[in-house]
Amino acid sequence: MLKRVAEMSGWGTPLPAGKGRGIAHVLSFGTWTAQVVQVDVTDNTVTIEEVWAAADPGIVLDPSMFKDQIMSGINFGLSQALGQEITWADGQVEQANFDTYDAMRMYQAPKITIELLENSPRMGGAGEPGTPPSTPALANAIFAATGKRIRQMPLSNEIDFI
Amino acid sequence: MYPKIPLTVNGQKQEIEADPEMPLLWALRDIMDIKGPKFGCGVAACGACTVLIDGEAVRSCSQPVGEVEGEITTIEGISQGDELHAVQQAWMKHSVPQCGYCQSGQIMAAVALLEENPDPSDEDISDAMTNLCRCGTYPKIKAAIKDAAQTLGA
Repeated sequence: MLKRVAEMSGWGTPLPAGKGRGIAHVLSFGTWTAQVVQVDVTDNTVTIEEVWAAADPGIVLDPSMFKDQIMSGINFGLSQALGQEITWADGQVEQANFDTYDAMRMYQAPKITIELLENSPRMGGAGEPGTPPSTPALANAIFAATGKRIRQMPLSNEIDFI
Repeated sequence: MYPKIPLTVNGQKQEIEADPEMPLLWALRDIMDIKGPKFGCGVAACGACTVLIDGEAVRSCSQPVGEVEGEITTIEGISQGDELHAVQQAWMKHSVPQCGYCQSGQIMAAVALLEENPDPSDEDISDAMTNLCRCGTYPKIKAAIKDAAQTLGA
């Protein structure tokens, strides 16, 4: 799975200055999932350009829908990095709606390529495995591009995104 | 007693009795029983309630019904009989929706975009399509809009 995502993303090939790739993987809900995120950082602002994902859930019953679910998981995960944060004041949560707790929009959405492997001996889930590796891969990509380690979510507290 | 408000919705003229301050979305859903436009946020932030007024995409949750000037089109009004709109057909072909809640609003925003710009670039689509999709179906929305643009331009 890691080998496949490395091949898909051209892992190890040189990138222009200001760009970086990061990788992360997880076993989530029975599905092995690895992702590479590529970012561009211009004027201290991060653009999430592209994401490659390889997932191994064992037998895949519906490849098209499975890929859709992984795609959604990726964008859901990246939304957290882009600024989703719950804060409290006076005993209440301060965020109540999408104007204060937004998610990724079209202009922020990366190109996504997904491949499925069927080596795992047990069938895994499709709904959530896309989410957990997306943000660590993004944080690693930002480190590769800038040398800056961000260790707290949302990443947007320490660096700007488009 | 509320005043009578004349409206044209999906080609049909009608009068409703409603507080002019009532959001158009409430009037559509609760008075006229048109349930395609959805309530998402109520503050014009998400676009699930998008309808067309004279062809322009409007977030009906934040549009007072008494101030509507022009013909209203909801997703119920874009097909020609049994023939779905090219945008709807492209949505089905690309299997865009996942949970589906935002999708009637997304489709209406896409219809408005293609009316104004029949051959949008990736950037045009990103600029025009500001509706929120919590399932993150944006790559498929973009592909479907490009497909529909080809169909409509053919």
